[in-house]
Amino acid sequence: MTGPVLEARDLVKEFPIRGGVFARTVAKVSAVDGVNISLGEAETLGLVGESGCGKSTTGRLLLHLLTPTSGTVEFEGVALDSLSKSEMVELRQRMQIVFQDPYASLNPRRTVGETLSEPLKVHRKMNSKDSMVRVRELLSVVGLSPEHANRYPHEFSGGQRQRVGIARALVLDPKVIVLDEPVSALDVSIQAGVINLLQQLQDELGVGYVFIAHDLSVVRHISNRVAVMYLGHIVEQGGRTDIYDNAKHPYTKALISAVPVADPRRERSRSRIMLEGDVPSPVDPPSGCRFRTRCWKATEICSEVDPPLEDHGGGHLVACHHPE
Amino acid sequence: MSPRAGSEVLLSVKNLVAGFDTGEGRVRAVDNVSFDIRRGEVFSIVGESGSGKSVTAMTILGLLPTVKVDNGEILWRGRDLLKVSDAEMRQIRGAEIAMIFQDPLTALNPVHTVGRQVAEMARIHQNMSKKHAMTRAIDMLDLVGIPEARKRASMYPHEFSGGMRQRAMIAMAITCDPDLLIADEPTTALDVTVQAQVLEVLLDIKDNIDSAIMLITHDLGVVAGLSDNVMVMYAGRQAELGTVDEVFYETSHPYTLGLLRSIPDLEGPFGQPLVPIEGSPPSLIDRPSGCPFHPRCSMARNPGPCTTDIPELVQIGTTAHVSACHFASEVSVAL
Amino acid sequence: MTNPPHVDGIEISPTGALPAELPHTSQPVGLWSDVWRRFRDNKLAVAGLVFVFLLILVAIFADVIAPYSITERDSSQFRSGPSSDHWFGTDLIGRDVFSRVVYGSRVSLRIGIVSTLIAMVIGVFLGAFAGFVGRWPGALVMRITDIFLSVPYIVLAIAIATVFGRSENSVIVVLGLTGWLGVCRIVRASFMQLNNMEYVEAAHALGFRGRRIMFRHMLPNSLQPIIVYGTIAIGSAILAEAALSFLQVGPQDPTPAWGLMVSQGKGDLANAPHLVLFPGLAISLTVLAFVLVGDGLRDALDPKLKTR
Repeated sequence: MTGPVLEARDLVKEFPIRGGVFARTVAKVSAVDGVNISLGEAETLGLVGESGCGKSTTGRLLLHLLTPTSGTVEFEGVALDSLSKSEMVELRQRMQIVFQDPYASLNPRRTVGETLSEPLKVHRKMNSKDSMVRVRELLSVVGLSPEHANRYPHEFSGGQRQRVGIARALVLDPKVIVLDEPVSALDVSIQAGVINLLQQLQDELGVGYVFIAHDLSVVRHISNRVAVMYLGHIVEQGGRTDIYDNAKHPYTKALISAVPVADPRRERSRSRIMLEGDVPSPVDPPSGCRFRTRCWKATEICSEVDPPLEDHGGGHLVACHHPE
Repeated sequence: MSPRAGSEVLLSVKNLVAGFDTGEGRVRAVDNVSFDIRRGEVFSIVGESGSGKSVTAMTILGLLPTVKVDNGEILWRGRDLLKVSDAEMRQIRGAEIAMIFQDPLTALNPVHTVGRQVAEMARIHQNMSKKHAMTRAIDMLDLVGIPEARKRASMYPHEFSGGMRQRAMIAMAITCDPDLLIADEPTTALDVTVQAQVLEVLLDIKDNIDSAIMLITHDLGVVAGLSDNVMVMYAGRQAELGTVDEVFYETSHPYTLGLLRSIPDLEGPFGQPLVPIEGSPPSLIDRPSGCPFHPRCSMARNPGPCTTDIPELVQIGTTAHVSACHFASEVSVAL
Repeated sequence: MTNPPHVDGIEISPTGALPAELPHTSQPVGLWSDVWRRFRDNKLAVAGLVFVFLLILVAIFADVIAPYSITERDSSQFRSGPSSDHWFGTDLIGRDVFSRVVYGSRVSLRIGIVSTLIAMVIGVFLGAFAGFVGRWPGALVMRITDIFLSVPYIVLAIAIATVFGRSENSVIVVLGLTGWLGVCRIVRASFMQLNNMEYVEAAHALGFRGRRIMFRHMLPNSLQPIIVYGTIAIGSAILAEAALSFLQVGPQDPTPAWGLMVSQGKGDLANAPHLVLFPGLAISLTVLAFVLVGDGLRDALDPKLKTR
């Protein structure tokens, strides 16, 4: 099909800060402030950034689990906010989510089989027998034993629970899956297996991923395109090589340089870009370019004008007054 | 960065065995672990959940009341910490060996100002007056790179960002000039740019006060960048121990090898699948027989000693590099 | 593998070589057998449970246990103390106190349990709704509970008794209508917390409707505080019933409501203390028993004792 599968334009999400006796809105936090995302068929878009950058919020906005303050999200050309409640329920089947915490993402009082078969019973009106056949298939697909369908989540390890979470996302044959830090809570030796599984599923099922993570190495490994977020903005976006080998935004460069690499000689010979200070509070972001308070290149224009995203060739977008 | 040859051995752990009782039996969290730490050295203990790395550190300082030590010695500058009195231990904690925890938000008391908490260390251990202690505290906050230290000293922990809090915890730890800093996952909860800053601070401080650092982490990148010596732990036992170059480039244990191969490389070629380690970390109650890693080991021989005999530490080459594998010499070939 | 699994007709190769065995885990959390084991270790709680159990037996088999009926008079003994004929003595008009106390258990249990059930149903539904929906509907529900809080149940009971007459049912209605506030708050708090759980988010993402999420996903995970509250609520309902009966707003004579018996006997406290003592003891022990069971349940279900 032509056109992106998932497209978000000018997404803004504000959260009110309430105070006072009557819980009036005292201030607003712009968690996401004018974000554009587009995801093609069977593609993986990596969304990286540090805490408070808005990547998790963006992920949920894309699935309409949160309603945007302004902006639109379109799935296969259909605007999500134009849908009625039942139409949205229908559409949800095609966009799913995998969460970070393998312990909280499964209902502890239901067996894995019940959790996986429920969507089939609700949406596809399958009976118990047919749905269990499908459930066993799915468990196999994600590398778990089908006999364990009648076990409870606490009987599985973290990595296995995460696989169940992935199976749940696959149950209704989605076109797009948003994965919010899917491997961050897993041990390193387990992460690799889950990452391989995700790639294999994409190859075989043609499902697209929005992969939200803070671990740059993992994102580089699995993504086709990457968007770097800082305080609610996308500061740089492009293909894998654009971002990792050819970064033009100072924040992206600092981020990549800060990632430790498991190679002592390389670590010893590296020169790291050290950023000053911490991420500013999203309640009161700096004027102009939000990154200027930590940027070594900041000049006067940076405090006055918020740089827009500009195309530096081939879809490599950078929002900076002084790109490389 | 490397310790001077012949520098003083500060900590010597010998054959430490420790565990605790759970509802279902005795768990041996630390199983026959031995290592030395010298002044000026950064010694990293790497492992995943259940490896016993944190318990080892906490046992050295006697911070876990439910943990019973079944065997071994913990020699701190010649004295066995397992045999000293409670009062002596309290004196050592904070003044000679200090600890930095993972989550500064819960490790710092929310109802006291940061300055006061740092100063408290000086007051308790060095008997300083309130005024002197506060001056010292401000100096320490300055040393760890907290801007406007005097002003910040009268602020509360929740007013600090994550990175600042961790620096404050480091300041607290170094107030009494300890000889050993134990840092338990000090940067795991921090953003990566802040992590880089905090690790830099740790290294500077170590040189500044001429102490050693025991770094406990699961992040091999952090280990590669900071350590002089590395110990890899699995299921409470030592898997491998050596200098950082030896462990990373002359890997001699299948678990270490598995870990290194399963991490995506920031600069490597695209499109190569990762190599996971099969299976899950073992239960410490229901231990596998023989080598604890054998159910997940791609090199395990069955039938063979892997399933029946617990491997002892064997020396690799002529240095202090050791590995607990029956086939340690074949691992490097596989690299 | 002989028959590779298929998804949508596409053959899927098994991914990785993940052995399918489940790791050893500690005993599952919150399984009733585990809860029972912990409960059993709590001697007070078990004592309470035994008492409640006996009380229920007494209520069921009252006809067999009580030697006299509740209206039968022994004209030879008025206001006489405990004797071999009348274990608890007789009351002002010669009725056997023991039998009346025994039959009174039916009154207390019936009122206590039914009114608590009504209160729980109202409270759970309103609390679930308030917690799940939140925002202004949730706030509205909480303002309604505040309004109800300001109405003392005693005043309400008097009003209803005046209008509709005194009876067991009027007490049940009053207690049911005023007793739902506590559980409403608890359920609301629980649901508000569960809203943030990722498996609830997942249910939304899977397109499940609100009702299904509330009652099939969230409510089963809120059961613990509800059960504890409900158990203790029965005890306090019985106490409230006793108070209302004492104030002569509850069931009328000859119904052997314990509170009513205490009220009838209070005038003669000096000479015939047994008239107050035995029904009073019945009230105290019953309420205490329910509270002990509730406390015991709470400790047995306490998340702090759970292991992963």
